[in-house]
Amino acid sequence: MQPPNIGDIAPDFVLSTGRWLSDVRGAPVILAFHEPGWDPARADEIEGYRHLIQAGEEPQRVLVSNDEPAAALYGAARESAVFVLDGRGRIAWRHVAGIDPVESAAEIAALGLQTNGDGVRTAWSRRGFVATAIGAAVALTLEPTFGRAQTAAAQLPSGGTTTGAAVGDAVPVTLNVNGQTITLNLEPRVTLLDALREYAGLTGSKKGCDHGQCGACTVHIDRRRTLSCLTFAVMQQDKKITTIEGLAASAGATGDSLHPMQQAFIEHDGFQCGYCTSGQIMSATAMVGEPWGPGDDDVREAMSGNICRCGAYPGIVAAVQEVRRNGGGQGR
Amino acid sequence: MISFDYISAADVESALRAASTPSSKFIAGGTTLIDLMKLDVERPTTVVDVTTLARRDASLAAVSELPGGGLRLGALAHMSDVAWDPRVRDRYPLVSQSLLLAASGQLRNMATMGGNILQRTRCSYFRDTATPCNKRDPGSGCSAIGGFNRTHAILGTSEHCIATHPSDLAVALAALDTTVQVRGTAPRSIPFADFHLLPGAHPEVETTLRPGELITSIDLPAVSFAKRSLYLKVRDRASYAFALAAAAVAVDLQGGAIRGARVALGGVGTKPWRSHEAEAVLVGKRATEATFRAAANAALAGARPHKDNAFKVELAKRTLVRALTEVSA
Amino acid sequence: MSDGRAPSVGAPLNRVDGRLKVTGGARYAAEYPLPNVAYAVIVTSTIAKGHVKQMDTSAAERAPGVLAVLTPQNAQRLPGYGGNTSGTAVPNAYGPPAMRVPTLLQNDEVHYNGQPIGVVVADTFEHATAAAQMVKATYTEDKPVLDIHSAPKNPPETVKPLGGERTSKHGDVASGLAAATVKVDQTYTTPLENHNPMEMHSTIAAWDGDSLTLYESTQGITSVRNTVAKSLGLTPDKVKVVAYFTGGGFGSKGGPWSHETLAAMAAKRVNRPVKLVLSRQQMFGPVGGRPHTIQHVTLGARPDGALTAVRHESTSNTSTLENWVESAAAQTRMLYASPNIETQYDLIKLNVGSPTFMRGPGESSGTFALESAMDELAYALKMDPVALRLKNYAETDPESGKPWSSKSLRECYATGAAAFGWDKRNAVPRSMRDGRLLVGWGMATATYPARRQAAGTTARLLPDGTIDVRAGTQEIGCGTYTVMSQIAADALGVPVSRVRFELGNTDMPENPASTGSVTAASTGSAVNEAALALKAKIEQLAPGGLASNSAADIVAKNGGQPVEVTVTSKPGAEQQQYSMHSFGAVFTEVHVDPDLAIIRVPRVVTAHGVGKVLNAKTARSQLQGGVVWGIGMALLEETHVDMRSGRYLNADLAEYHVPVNADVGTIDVHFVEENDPHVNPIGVKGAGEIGITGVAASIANAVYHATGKRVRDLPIRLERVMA
Ligand SMILES: Cc1cc2nc3c(=O)[nH]c(=O)nc-3n(C[C@H](O)[C@H](O)[C@H](O)COP(=O)(O)OP(=O)(O)OC[C@H]3O[C@@H](n4cnc5c(N)ncnc54)[C@H](O)[C@@H]3O)c2cc1C
Ligand code: SF4
Ligand code: FES
Ligand code: FES
Repeated sequence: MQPPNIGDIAPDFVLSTGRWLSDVRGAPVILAFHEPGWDPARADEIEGYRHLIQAGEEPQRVLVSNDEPAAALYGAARESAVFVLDGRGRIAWRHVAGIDPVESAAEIAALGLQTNGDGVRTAWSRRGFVATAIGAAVALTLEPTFGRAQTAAAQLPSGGTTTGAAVGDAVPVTLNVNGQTITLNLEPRVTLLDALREYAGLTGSKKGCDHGQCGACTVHIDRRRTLSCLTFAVMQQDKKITTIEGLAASAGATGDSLHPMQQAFIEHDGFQCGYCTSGQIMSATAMVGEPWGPGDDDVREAMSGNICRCGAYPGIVAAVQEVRRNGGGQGR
Repeated sequence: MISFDYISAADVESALRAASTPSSKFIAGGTTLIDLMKLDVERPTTVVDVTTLARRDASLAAVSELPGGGLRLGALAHMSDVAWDPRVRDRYPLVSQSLLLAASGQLRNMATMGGNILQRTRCSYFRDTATPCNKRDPGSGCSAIGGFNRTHAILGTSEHCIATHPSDLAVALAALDTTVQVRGTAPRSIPFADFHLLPGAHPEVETTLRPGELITSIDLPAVSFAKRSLYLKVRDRASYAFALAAAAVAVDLQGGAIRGARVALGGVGTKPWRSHEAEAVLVGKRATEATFRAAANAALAGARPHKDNAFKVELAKRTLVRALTEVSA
Repeated sequence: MSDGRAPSVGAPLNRVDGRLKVTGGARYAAEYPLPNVAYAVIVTSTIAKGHVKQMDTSAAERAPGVLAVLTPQNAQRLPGYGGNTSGTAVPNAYGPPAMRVPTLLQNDEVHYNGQPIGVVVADTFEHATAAAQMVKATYTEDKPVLDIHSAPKNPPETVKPLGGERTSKHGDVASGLAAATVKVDQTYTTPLENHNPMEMHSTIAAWDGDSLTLYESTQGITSVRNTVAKSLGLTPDKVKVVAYFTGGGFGSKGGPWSHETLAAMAAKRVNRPVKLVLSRQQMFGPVGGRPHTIQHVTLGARPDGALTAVRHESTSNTSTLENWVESAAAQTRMLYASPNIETQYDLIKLNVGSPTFMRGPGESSGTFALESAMDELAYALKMDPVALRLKNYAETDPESGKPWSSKSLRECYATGAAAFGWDKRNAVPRSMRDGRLLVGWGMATATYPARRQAAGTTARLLPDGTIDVRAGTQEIGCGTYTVMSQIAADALGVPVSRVRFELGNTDMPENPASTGSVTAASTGSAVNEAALALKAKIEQLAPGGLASNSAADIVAKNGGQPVEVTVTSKPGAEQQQYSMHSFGAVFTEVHVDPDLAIIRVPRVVTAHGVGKVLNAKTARSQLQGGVVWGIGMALLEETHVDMRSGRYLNADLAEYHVPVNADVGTIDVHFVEENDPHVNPIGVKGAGEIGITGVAASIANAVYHATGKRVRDLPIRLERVMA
């Protein structure tokens, strides 16, 4: 089903608390459809959307799994989506992953939001959500209509003048990440890692040292494992970049299924805190295609560029060996 | 990191042109340059991306045959590609080993031949702009002399700098009489022995490469006995660490007698350390432990340890003896 | 359980948060997508002692994108800043953990090299870092105190180890030594170390009026809330701290440091949310580390091995900001039965960052000394090291005389020794080889206290049948999400998949910090109690409970509201009646190259009694992780400080060597089953810290066995074995 348009009355459905959506009219509502599955951070994810609402109004927050029937009414079945409803129950703003970017741009323009012609940096870009993926034409500078703290002028440093957000040096940088083309407005000194994490909202790649000394930032560039902290985004424009977020799909996994390496890491408990894990898995999936010998010691050596301070090495080695025994699962 | 202009070079000529401005730098893998730019140690105002040159001329990033049986390592060839190249593994095992024992799988996929031999010292004072360092800030003094210097050099030091050259590859290359091919106003060849400089009074000048010159390849000459070669690296961690001591050796053995030998040391020199002294001791002798020990003594005869690195003298000797023993076995 | 379901507790379940962690979906502190976030970068001092004379911020303030530069001159004065200017600690000025004194730009003092002295805020990370590099400070510089071997000791009254006295005296060591036929009298040292969790300490601070939300990388949301609130002069209810995932901590994230409050101050100044992520370099100094220890151990024994005297004196460094004691003698007070045991701590103030809890605080550095000394004694006595330990087995706590709540150390020795093949050991040094390599087999005892603190939990039955359980604890890698789900599921008799356990938010019931291995015992007991209470309440509403009623019906009977209970679960009188500790044994094989002195650890076998194992998979991982830490401690880790400037010299992961994959061989973890009815209602003792204890000594003892070289100074670098 198509998502409802801006200005439409939001389709009604029963909230899990037994009330209807229409019962909560009177205050703005943020309605978010999320991927199914357990995610403790979800509750606060929606906090971010709160900032879309005008100052003084306390929005209702409604979180719905995109597995539920209601998601279909909103064109959000199996998609991540966010709708902002005004106090009268009309759609004031929406984002549904995968909808036509131009449409979004038009909608945003219709909302009277300011966009900044070439800028694409969004204040709250979120993987699969809004924004950065939308392309060079649109920048969501949401604050003028919805923002609150962010509309206030930044204080001047004492005795100085501020140049504000002059990103004179920034240039449009087009990256192919996980099969999607994204354009970001970046200074040349922005590393690929920071471009992913801070500009594109892809926070799966981690920063553990920023100096090539830990491997947490490992991504695949043209199928090779690479440290994203030691290369500039601007240098990677014609390459295929795969991050942990796109790994499973790159190996042909569909829906919720994982890359075999991801599954093996779960089975063998190849992590604890999880912070090095994206890098470990990206490294491991590429390492499987390199001409290493078959032994555990080969894995240990090949995986030594990925530090795990939790010390999950035995599980990591076991996971890699299982995948290698089962024929690789070499998705990049 | 200061801001800079980024120029992606389409061909060698435009790369050279772009790099002719003062304080411009080529960038290849970026694993040394970006690291040091983040530390504010390198402050180029123009960064010229040479990785794109390989699109025009694939040989710049490839391993190719040289007439006479040598191999040409394109300046932009990645460490991993060279390391796994069957010809390199077969004909120059020490080169392959020096690469595989360096850095990490990811870094080797990024770092290039040209960048590798131009990597800069890991001396922690050099990397910390809050401390004096003659190499980073000429004339400011050397913090390592009189400071903590466990990882520093014992060969080729001066009273101005005792920093170790960190490259493993360069040690293997030093052993082989390689040639560095460069392009500047005119192409020229630099014998590897002349490429790196001792610190002397000017540790800030590290090579004979002129500003704006581009390395195009590193040429490995045909060395008949390089097949019998070895790179042995000793480090604190089992992997992902720089050398405390390393030895690159090749021997020409004929019935237990040494007819020719190549010896270079890593982790102990201010430059990749070729030891003709050790070679002179070896050639003509029988391949025995005593011979190897004598060669090691000769190699380290000029060693000058500092407070924390005296152990390196004996460690380097034993490393060399072990390498020679293994390669002769 | 009630419905005959097999208990999930103990089973090797996969982590419930595994999927999020392997897909990049788990969100860590710096990853919350807040609108309009600005970036803050801390500027640090370049001297170790003195005063900031002037900070030239003009270039930084003019730099593109810069929004503010905070310095000691212009930073807001904090009403709740209890930090003093004289350098003596204000006990509990900042709540738990005790005595933490942050540096919040409230004065111009510099106490160590790398101390925060300013904050630059800009619109992008790139602008902020570039501008931070432009800030130039000038100082009036004093000569720093950096050498623990020559600096004066603190007055004894300032030496207050947490949870203990400065000295302990049981019997009379002098007479015990007089009665001894064999003595060991040696000094052991451990160096400065830094935790280096893979996730750097990070904060996003967002103000909403006078309320503050901190997205924080922490092991203790409550202590961060309380401390930051206090510093800023707010009541704790005005501060909310969120941490759903923390990328490791190992003690450094046990409580707040300076950056959280600095981020809040910066956010206030620029009137935007501010993200502040420390650089890896800034992880050395501003966020704690393990202090240097110098430990003097004296043992006396009779020919049969019975210890007649044990003395352990530990001197460790602290900073000039705080008096923090590494309790390295803690295990010596309780590990072996001897009529005469004396211990003592001393402190030395150095101009370095404040030390703090670091994995196995006290016991890991302390067992290195004690268990190395025991090995030396075993050789002196020509006795098997396991036999020596069994000879001195403590059947009750030697210090307090109390019974153990449970102790299976004897079984640990037996299990570990059998799995390792200890009986095949030839005790003569340098007697065992594998080809050219020298083989060494060593062992040591592991121990760590089993602690518990008050903890709260809310459990709710939702109409769709979900059991929603909330506790304001933390997930730092220990598997908290998973084991708490298991505990709740078993208590309620439902499958784990029906439980949704939530943590990491100060809106939830208060829980202790995830430090000192308390989480499983404290939060676990609370979750168990809440789930049982919920079950009882459901039974009351709908006899037959969940087995015979649908959740919707039960909720309907509850007036349409989710059925909810909240409990606070506290330790009781058992704490006074019993001595509560985990124990274990660590057996290690090392291979040493006889010429190059390269040391590798191909094999470690451990056996531990840690009470009930909640999840065999995650518990195993924790103990393996502890062993990896022990390998690092034994062979690699040391923070180097320049003895002239106090500069941290290896403040990165290239030169501060934590173990990489290739440094670690097989780690064979065994659990000795324990049924501890006293320690807490769920019988768990905690597995987070004990894994590292004993490992360094076990490796050092193995190195001695391999080489004949006794190394008493960590780390055992090759030059210490070559020499
Ligand atoms: C954590 C870590 C660990 C490491 N461990 C090791 C190790 O164990 N052993 C080891 O040997 N190395 C190690 N390295 C160093 C690594 O090998 C070098 O950083 C790498 O080889 C540099 O190559 P690059 O292509 O990335 O160089 P870049 O960073 O791109 O360039 C380095 C320098 O060379 C110049 N340059 C590059 N290409 C050319 C060219 N064609 N012509 C002229 N100038 C050029 C650049 O201007 C720059 O000044 C490690 C690095 C890191 C970050
Ligand atoms: S050794 Fe060289 S690089 Fe290091 S501080 Fe001295 S001058 Fe600088
Ligand atoms: S963040 Fe890139 S290697 Fe550590
Ligand atoms: S899982 Fe925590 S660092 Fe690897």
